[in-house]
Amino acid sequence: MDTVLLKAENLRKTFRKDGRNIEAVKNVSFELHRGECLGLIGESGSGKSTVANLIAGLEKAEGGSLQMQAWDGSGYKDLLGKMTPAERRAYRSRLQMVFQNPRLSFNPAMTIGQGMEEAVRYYTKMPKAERQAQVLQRLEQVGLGPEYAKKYSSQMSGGECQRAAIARALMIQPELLICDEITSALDVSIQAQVMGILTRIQREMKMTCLFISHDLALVSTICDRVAVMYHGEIVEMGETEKIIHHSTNDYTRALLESVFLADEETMNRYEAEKRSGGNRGRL
Amino acid sequence: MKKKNKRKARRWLIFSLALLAVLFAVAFIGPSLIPHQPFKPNMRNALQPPSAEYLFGTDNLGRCVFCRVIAGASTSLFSALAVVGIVFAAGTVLGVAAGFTGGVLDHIIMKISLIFQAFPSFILAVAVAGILGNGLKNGIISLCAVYWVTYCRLARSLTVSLRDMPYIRAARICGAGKISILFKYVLPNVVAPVLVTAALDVGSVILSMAGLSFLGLGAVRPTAEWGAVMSEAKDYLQTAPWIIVFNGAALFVVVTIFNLFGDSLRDVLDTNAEI
Repeated sequence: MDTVLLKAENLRKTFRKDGRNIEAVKNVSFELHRGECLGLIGESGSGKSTVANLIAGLEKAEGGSLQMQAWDGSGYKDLLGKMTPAERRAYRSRLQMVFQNPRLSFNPAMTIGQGMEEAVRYYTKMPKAERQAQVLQRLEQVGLGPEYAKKYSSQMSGGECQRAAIARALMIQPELLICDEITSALDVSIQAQVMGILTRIQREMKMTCLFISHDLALVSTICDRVAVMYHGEIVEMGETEKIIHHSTNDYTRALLESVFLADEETMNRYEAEKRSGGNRGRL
Repeated sequence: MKKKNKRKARRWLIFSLALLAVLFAVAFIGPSLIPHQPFKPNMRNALQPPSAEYLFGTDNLGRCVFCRVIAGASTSLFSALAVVGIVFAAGTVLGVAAGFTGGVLDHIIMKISLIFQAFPSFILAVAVAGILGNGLKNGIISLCAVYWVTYCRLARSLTVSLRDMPYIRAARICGAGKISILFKYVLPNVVAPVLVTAALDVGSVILSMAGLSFLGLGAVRPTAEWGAVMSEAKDYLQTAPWIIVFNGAALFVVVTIFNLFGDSLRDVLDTNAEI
């Protein structure tokens, strides 16, 4: 079986703003292999989220193709081409997305449990009792107790909401998980917690993941490969290690130079102060 | 909102609901318990000041003002609730339809609402009531013609702001169709703020209806609608001020209770304050 789950070829998307056409995505091509995590990085406005929205079917592409492998690996189907509604639903039910704003990812009028049940209601004919049992199982998987199923997003912290959003995405056991800047609205300690959960789940479930971020340091912790986007184009793509240490592209190097990495001396001082309780472990 | 403030808001809501319950009891049970006939003239007792027998005095035809205030409560409440109910339903449906579908339907509904907004609201209500003729039903129609615009525009702007919310996008990815998104994701989040506006508007609708009746365009004789009664009583302001004073006081109390209810409902339903 071919290991490529999704092939994007020459994806194009233009938005009209203030009477001008803005090319958000220009001829973007990449392949996503089964079980791998591909990082999509770049500055704000580089077109990363638009690529995610095109794959998730939230935006319509103006050109190119998006080939997704069939369940049994027998062939590929263009998600942008002609499909029957049933076929489209079948393919769409294989991907899920986690959004940037954790609180707004859940309907304020529904409890977390109800919101999670919605994730399976439309694609499967799972009985209610089974759906509810799965909600509790998925919540447990992301370290949240069963009591969270009865809470509303307004009663939870940002980190808890984001973990619940990951749990909701897991409800249909997607083959492809798109994570669109999922940690940028969280503080650093919660970021680490969410990333730890995501990494564990991605490895456990051997899930294919498209991880979008502007934070290269974060991407390097989870992604096998990285694609760098600039002005709607992928300017460089390769193994994470290679991109970080041997980048050949000027923009990627500029992006790398802008990443703050604490030196050894600073880190030692931080650890010592944290141990003594001096400055509450601030850098 | 802090938990303490939320508790306080809930207490106010319970208090205002209790007052509303008393108000509705007075309006709908009161007329069967009053000591005098509110519509039967008794010229021998005309223009008597408040006394033990006639608590609020009598009017120019000798009718008990207290009994007429109680009898008028159901008319004022019913007409105000009818107007608010109709504009709430019609405005929300039109606004959500415009905001959710966008395109031509949105343009048409918004342009019509703009035309209605081009007129001062009470003048428009007077004009519509003037064309339709007096009577409670026409008064209700004329106020509906004025008030629906607010609800339509509010519901439309809320719907547009919700359309791109991450939870709506998440629902689309989860396979929810347009109908499911509309009824499960959009409407429940639009209804709460519109409901608060409706609760706050009941008081002003009662005042507008009283204004129309005062001008002779709302309820007509012998209906004891407070505005209509005040219109009749204005000729006796010097000699029998109690008729206008007690009817005005009834209006003031009812409007205050509805405003209190609207305010506390807004505080309790204000989910955004927690986000």
